[in-house]
Amino acid sequence: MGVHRQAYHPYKGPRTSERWRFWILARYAFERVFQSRILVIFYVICFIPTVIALSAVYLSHNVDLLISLFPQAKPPDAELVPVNEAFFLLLMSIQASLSVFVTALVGPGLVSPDLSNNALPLYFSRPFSRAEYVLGKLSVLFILLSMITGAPMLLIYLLKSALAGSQWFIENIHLAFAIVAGSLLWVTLISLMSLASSAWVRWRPAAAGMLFALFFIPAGFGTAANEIMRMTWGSLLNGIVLIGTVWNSLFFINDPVGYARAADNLSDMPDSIDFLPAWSAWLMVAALCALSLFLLNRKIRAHEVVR
Amino acid sequence: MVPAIELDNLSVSFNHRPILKDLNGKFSGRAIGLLGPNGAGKSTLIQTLLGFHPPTSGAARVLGLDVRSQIQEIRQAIGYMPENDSFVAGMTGIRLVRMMAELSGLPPADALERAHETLFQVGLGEARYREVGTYSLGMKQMAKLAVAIVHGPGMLILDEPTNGLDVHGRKRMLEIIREIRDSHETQIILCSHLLRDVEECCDEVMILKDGVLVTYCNLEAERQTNRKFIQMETRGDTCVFLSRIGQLGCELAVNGNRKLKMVLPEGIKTRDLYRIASETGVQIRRLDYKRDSLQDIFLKAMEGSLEGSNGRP
Repeated sequence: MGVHRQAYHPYKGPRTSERWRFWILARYAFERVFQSRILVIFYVICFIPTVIALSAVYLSHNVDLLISLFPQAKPPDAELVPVNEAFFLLLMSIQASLSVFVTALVGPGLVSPDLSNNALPLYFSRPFSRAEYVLGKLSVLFILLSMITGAPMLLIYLLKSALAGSQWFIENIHLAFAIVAGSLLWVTLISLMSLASSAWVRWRPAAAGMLFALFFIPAGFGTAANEIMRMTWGSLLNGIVLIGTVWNSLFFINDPVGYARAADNLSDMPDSIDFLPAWSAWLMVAALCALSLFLLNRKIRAHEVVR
Repeated sequence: MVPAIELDNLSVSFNHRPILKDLNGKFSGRAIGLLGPNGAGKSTLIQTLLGFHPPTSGAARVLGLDVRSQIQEIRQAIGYMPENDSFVAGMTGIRLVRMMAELSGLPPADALERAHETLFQVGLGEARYREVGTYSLGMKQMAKLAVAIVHGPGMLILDEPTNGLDVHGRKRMLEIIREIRDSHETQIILCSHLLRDVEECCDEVMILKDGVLVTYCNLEAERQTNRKFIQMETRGDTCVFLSRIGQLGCELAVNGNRKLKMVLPEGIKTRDLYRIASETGVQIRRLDYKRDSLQDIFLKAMEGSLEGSNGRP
């Protein structure tokens, strides 16, 4: 280490490629994120449903092992855990709910401290663009959330394929597509919304609260609008209904109520849930992503111009 | 030598409000001071050179690179120290400087080595494992300087670098700036309200007023030009003395009874003045070489008296 060289001297060494420079930001952000003990504990908890699901799928294909563990249990007549659309939808809902909390813990700390400490000129006076900045910050949330949403479900899909055979893998390939597309869409949406709220609300706790507010306050207005005007379009403001509709369309579930009732595990689904046309939900999700990008574009600047 | 900055009818407007108006010139000094009153457009000019604001019309080049089409190359070649507090919360000094070096393209191992070196160089070696947020104002200034120079830029843009520094801090900051200037590897643009800082570090100065470049001068040339400007304080009847001095061809200005200002023509020495004073019974109580200080140049520029002169490019 040349700390003895206390005189200024220029750097003449090699330079790294600009293509992956956004990853530097992500790398440093990851190191900081995992310094939070609360986050690490919660992040581990997020894997519990997946571990349970993996165990259930494995045991359902190893009945002998199940009987050796529980001698008084009778061998099941049908498949113990049916791995189908309903299974993955349920798991995706659970994981998505957990991912909201992870986002609330991580997201506000990504952009708002940079804005409140005027760090953006330091970034943007280097060969580092605003797009790379957003990409770097986004990739932190994207990777963290993908690891608890899409990745574990794909693992379950692969385990089921390994246990049930290649025929099952081929017949249910649409499930893999739905898992990947659904989780990517969800992770992108929530990451962008989180970054946008972090950019506009500089106080970290308020930015975390803002994320929840964005889910629940418009949903309340939407439900009220549905009740008063006797329509279903108010559900476009309900993030949970919105993303649920998109997932249903990805899993090719055209009649969600009927499908839910047909599946025993969701038979208590109420009639009053307002289902939206799939195209409108897709459009709304795209609009929310675009709005988040627009808001980020307004705020992520090296200098604010006072007009 | 490639000019540090070239401006070609550069204009910048915000919301149809002109901030910089038709700036022109080539500025090649090793250290260029950027002066002007509040709202003159200094920060806007710096930010335009950094590509933060696009020019409304005209062109600007930094180290020969166009700010419109080659901004990434420009940012590769420069280091910027902003005026306000700028740091990444929750990061130690070493991590901040290392990350910024990596963002400038240094490989991680080189970035770490340079970060250590630079922090020692700016006097933060012992505090490099502390969070930057806990630094004092002066330490934060030094940390910003470290961030600006860690990647060894070809040009360094410093915006009010001595803000908030105590006497020792300011001295150290100016020493480092001069050291960088004298390395002949890095050109410096120094924006400051403190004329003395500019005078101590810069060899050229540009003065902006209301978005217009009113003066660009070489400080050393100014000093040479005014070498024979003499200020004198006398006692006694000066009528004959003034008449004799006038006969020598000196340009004279009398300020009150006792104070004189004069420019000596070639071949006349101060010993001639003492001889005439002795012969005419006048006491010379004080005699100083006076030259236009940066403050004089600045004030003249603000009054508009120097517009269009003084080596304006």
